[in-house]
Amino acid sequence: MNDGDYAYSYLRESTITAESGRSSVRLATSGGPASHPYFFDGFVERADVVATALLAVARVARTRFYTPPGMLAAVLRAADPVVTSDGHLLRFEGFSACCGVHCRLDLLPDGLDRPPADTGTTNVDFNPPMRDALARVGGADPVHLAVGTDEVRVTTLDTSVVERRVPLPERWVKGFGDVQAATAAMSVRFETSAVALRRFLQALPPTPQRGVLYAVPAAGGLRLASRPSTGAVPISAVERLRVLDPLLRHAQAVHVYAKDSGGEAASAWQIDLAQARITVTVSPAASRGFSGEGGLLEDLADGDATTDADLVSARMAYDPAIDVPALARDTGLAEHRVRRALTHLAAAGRVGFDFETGSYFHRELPYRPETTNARHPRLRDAGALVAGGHVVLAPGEAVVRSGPTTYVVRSTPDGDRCTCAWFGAHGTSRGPCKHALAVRIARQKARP
Amino acid sequence: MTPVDRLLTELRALPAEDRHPVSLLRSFYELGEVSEPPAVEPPEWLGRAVAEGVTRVAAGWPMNALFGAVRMLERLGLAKLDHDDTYVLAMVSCLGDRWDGAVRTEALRRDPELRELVWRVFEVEGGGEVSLANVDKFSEHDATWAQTFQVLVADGTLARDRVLRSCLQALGRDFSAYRAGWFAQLYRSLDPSTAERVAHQPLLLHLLRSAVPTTVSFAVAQLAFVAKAGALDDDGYTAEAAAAVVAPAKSTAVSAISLAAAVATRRPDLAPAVAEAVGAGLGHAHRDVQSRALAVLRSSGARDIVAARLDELEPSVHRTASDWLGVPMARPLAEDPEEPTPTVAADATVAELGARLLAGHLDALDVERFLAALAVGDHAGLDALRKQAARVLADTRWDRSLRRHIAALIVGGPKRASTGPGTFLARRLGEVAARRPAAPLLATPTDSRGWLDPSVFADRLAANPEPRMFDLVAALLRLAPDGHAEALRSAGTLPGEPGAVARYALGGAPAETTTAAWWVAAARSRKPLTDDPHLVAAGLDRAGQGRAAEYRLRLGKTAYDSVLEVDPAGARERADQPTVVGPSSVWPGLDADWIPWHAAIWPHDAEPFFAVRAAEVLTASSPHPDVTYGTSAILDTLVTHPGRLGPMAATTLAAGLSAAEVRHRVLAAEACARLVPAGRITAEDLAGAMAHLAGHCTATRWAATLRDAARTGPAASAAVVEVLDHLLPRLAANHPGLHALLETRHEEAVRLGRGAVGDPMLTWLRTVTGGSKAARLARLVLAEAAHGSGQP
Repeated sequence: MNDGDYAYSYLRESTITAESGRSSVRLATSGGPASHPYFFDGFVERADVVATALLAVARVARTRFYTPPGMLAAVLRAADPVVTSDGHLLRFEGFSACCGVHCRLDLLPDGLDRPPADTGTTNVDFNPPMRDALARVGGADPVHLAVGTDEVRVTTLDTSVVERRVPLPERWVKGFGDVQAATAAMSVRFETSAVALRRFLQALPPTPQRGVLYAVPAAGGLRLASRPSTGAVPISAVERLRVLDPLLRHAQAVHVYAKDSGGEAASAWQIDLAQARITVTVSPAASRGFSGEGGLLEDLADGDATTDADLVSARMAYDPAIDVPALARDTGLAEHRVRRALTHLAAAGRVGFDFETGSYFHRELPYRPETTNARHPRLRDAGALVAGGHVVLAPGEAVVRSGPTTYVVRSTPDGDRCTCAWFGAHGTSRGPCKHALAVRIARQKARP
Repeated sequence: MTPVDRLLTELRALPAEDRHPVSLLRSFYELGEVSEPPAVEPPEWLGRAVAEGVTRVAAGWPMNALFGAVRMLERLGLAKLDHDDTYVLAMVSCLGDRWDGAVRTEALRRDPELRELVWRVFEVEGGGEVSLANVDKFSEHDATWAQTFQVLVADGTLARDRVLRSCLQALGRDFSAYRAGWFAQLYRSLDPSTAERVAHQPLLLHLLRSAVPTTVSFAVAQLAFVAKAGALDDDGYTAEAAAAVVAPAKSTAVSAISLAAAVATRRPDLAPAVAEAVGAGLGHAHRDVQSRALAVLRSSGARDIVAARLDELEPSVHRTASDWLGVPMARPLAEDPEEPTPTVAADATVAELGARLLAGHLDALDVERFLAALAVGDHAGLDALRKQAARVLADTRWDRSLRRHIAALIVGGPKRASTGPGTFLARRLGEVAARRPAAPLLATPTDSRGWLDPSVFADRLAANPEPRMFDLVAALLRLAPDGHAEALRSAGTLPGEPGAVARYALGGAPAETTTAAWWVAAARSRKPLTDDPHLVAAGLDRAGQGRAAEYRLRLGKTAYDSVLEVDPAGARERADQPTVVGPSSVWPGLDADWIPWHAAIWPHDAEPFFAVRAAEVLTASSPHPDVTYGTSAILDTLVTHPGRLGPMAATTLAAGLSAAEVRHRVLAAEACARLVPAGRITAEDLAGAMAHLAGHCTATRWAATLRDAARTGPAASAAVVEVLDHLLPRLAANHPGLHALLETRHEEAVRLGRGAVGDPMLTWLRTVTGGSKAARLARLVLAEAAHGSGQP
């Protein structure tokens, strides 16, 4: 699954220094809108909160929460977090090596002493000495934060380029995009306090949890349940949420998001901090990422969505929130087509989703996202089935021939059902099987 | 030619495909120490191969001292390596020998450059097999890195203070808990003096913010020494204390609060800041921490801080705080648990059902629907599953599984499924696989809980008067308890022995018992829990036949030695009489995927099922549990089984409440919260089962799970108090973990406002005396009881 090495090239290593008694965090950048973008140089409120939150992002980016059997001796080659500037706020994101946990820290405009200087997305260097230094940052004073270096500084510093190569697996790059589409399908299920979440996490036994459970509000906080219920949030390998623990003493509120349907699904845990927010999204199971979440494949199966996505992409700007009605007006597309195009762009890593505004925001992953669509094998196989004329449509059902085997796809009120082994194993919990996708594509093509 | 020249000569001739980097290092390692430079020109690829070897041993532990070869190659000029993180990890990995501590110690003594490089091991975390913590964990005690540092500090080779400080600096890095623990242990093992701890105070204060709970505990413990010497930095400690008072370990949090309280006493100017920090302790999960924090806040009059966090307090602390603040105590609202609902779509086709079953989703109703379809010759779409079914049949992992039988049905080869014993369920599958002339099954349930409507049964039998042997047994055992009279009228003219058996099951007259299995099933359906005189007279007088059975788990020394006792004795399991189970049951030896269908055999009574399944839950609940695969499904049956839940169900629940795995405890807590308030398992029966298992289960786990159960609603909370009132008098006053049970009892009683205690409990509480935690809590419960009854 290795997609080959990805090369980071930094003008220098990120550093933390003490300047006039205050911590100064200088993050080196690599790739994106420029070779070494320069986004921000100013002060951010609450050094202790920012340092702890940045460490949480970095920790997710260098952690493998699940190690497949036979990989016990694997060396962790962590990928560096990315930061997106939209000219108003800064968003730091990290994705775990196992593809099951995504973490995003939003430094809000209220906490920045000036707007970012530029827009775009880039990688930032979180080297071990940098993390060590971040762990020592304390106090409630503002922290000096620089993301990138301005041109003057570049020319005056005696710079030496720092290069690192890391292997980025295909599913890692794909998952980084998929998680955005997954979160867009979620809604808030409950809100709770930091104390309740801390107690909940601290009460968990040290042994890893197997299978899906449900977090539900209960007297005095949260409890786990074995079955879905109103307001319950599915959570598998709940110990992955412990990455939030160091932040909880700074937390003001906790919002928990999930899809409305019961069963195994992803969930997102957003912590409100002083002038910042951090969101950890966990996949439906420790052993898998976000593939098929949020109806992504259905949207991607829509052939028109690709064209629409190109059109929408051309009109997007680095605004804090993407305005769907405005985009609809600009592009002449119906709003539902704009939304579907945005799902398409999310999967390609070209937009992220913000729970607070309930909308997408523009960000371009620096990881060759343009090939992401080719990384959905079910979609690719479904297209091949249709192209090969292997789908025969009939009212209420369809027959799909794959090699010597014939599958029947039935339309039911619960969605399309297939007779294949994949559907038997996963049902609709991971999106449609390739046969159901093929039928969907064939139906679209058959429309007059 | 010297050995090194000989080796270099060999290497020059080595084909590219044979240049294995780690083997190369091993070749030089086996030369021993070489001091003379080689005369032979090394191969041009040697440097690259050595660098690759270093990378490999940095990622995987070779378990012997290959790093000595790396140093030698550097000294001889045969390799030029960056002394980066990978190099440091290679040093961690294989500077020493797993069995011989002298190798590493001597290497450091004779290599001055290495003694400078060795400090980097405090900066590079490592991971997987290679870290200080992991290498030491799997090395002989005398061959550990920790022992190396102790020896070299003792003989002055390494500076003691630098080692101590390096440990604290490493603990301040963002290392994982597993790997950070090594540095705390080394610091402690060097037994720093008070003066050294005082000198290290700034580093220790910084550790209070660590994300690793054990590091926070370590720092608090070290700072307590500093405080005892009167040298605590009051300002510094106050600034950092809030992080420590929420440390998960109760003792750490209480110590942190005590240190803070002493600061407030010494430095009144810091009292407001101390109160803010201590206030965080009100959010701690443990009531002792909350109580200590509340006491400190009361002494400093910090009413606002307490008022703002009232809702976070445990009931007893909440009441104390409310009394102090003069506000009424609010009782948190809770919801009742929802009833479980079936999740399977009823209209699934046979192919869809087959796909689900092959994938391991072996819901009992799905199995029945699948069999029902096959029995009438519905094989539509099953061809799509033949490849998957063939894979299951070829995979030995599934040899004793239900899914193997399902696969055999799909590929149409009944003989291929005949692995494992011929249980009742296996024989039912065999009947369908035999593919007699298509005839509908009698036993397919008519409701989601597994019952068969008696009238539907009568109609099906009328349409199929020569039923399959095991199918009729299954149908008889599933007859729902209502609607018998009407069904009996319909069955009045059913022919032959099947008709007679059906009428007897529905309350009709007895007849000759030719086919024992049918009559046993009919009797267990007619009056499931009482003896049947007709069958007893006919000689079918074993437990589970004409006699109602009672079961008990006789415990051995460990959870693995339990033996099932059946009364009346002498029951022998038979495939055609599934209500009969014995001490040597075949069921636990099968794959766990049979469990849901096994549980659905006899909806009237869950006892035979739990009689043979309780032992697995007990195994999952022991202090040192094994991994079990059926425990979740067994515990789930407690909630989903519609019939009688007797002593074996109570035993299963009692064991589940003490399970090691979080999922099992969640299932047990939910079962407790549903079943005890509903009276399906009485509080007394559950307490009796818990007392029976008390020697095998962990009382602190019981306490935690009962607290979780109580949090599902007021009825569950009351049930938990009742269970504990029955259980506690049966336990010894020195039972391990008793304090946790008493604390749960106390907190839930306060939450409910129920102080009253029955006589047996009252008598027992008075026997728990002394200064233990349990005794203190017993006195609290007694005081609560006296307060509730108005006694002084």
